Amino acid sequence: MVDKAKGAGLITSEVIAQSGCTTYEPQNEDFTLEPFVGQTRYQELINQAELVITHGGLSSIADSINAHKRTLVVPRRQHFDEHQNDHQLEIMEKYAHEGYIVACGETDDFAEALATAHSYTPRPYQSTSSSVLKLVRAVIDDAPLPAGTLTGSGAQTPVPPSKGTAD
Amino acid sequence: MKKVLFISSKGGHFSELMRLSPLFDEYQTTIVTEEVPFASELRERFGEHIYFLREGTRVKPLSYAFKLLANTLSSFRLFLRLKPEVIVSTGAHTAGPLCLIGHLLGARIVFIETAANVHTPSATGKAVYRFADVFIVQHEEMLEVFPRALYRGALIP
Repeated sequence: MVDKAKGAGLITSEVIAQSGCTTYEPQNEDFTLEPFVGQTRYQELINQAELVITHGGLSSIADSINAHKRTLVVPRRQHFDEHQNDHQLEIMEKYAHEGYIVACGETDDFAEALATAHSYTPRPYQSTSSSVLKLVRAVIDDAPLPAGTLTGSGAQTPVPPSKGTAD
Repeated sequence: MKKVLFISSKGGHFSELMRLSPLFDEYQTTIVTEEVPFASELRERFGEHIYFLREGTRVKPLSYAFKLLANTLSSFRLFLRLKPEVIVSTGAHTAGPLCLIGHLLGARIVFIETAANVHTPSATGKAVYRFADVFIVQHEEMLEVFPRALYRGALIP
């Protein structure tokens, strides 16, 4: 798809793709395949990219939005035997809705999604992992939970789960 | 220092576990994961404080069953050797046996449901939720699936 888009002039910049185990050969110029990239090269490529196109694994999306890059997500689908389940759609839908990425679903037109992805302004992602760290620390230490911790009942000061058989 | 065991499968689950690495020095930490391509780098970094279990995936049911059994036995031996007070896990199936064994033998179980699922619970998550002392989710939406879970944000992105 990306190769066709390149051929159709929809992508004017150089394309570099991590090809993994596929035997695909790009038809267009300025389209390089690197079977597997190491961490350093990967980070380098992300930093240089104007647009990152990915399948939708959380790690790939994460790397791109953490680098504040334009991201186009084209997810794998279970019924194409491409992946074990469709949970990648959940992440894609959430992050598209929140403005971090552009999604190209099964029924979406790739060319249109590509055009949108080239021009949208990604919402800057603010990491909350330090908040999670504080929570995990409190939980390990059996200390009071950090303010703002939510639980299912909506309470901000949750009741610890009971270990009784009445549960 | 409290003895804490951090366990996860490889891949995304392991990336999430590594987001907890600022905590490692605060405890007597052991890390358990599956054999990964960069295992030697991990051994260099963590020395004797890291252990590797066999990987398993539900795509091949029969070999998975054998690996699950092997992992259960390894987990049991590991638990008896290390006797952690707290087990912190980011999933998935490989971590399940050790969480259950730990729970039965008196360890505090802290399970962190993966950030990869927004509405759908993971299989391991559903199982461990029944007995975890603390269950943490990384999307507020998941509080509807796991009502007594805690939410404070996401380790990834």
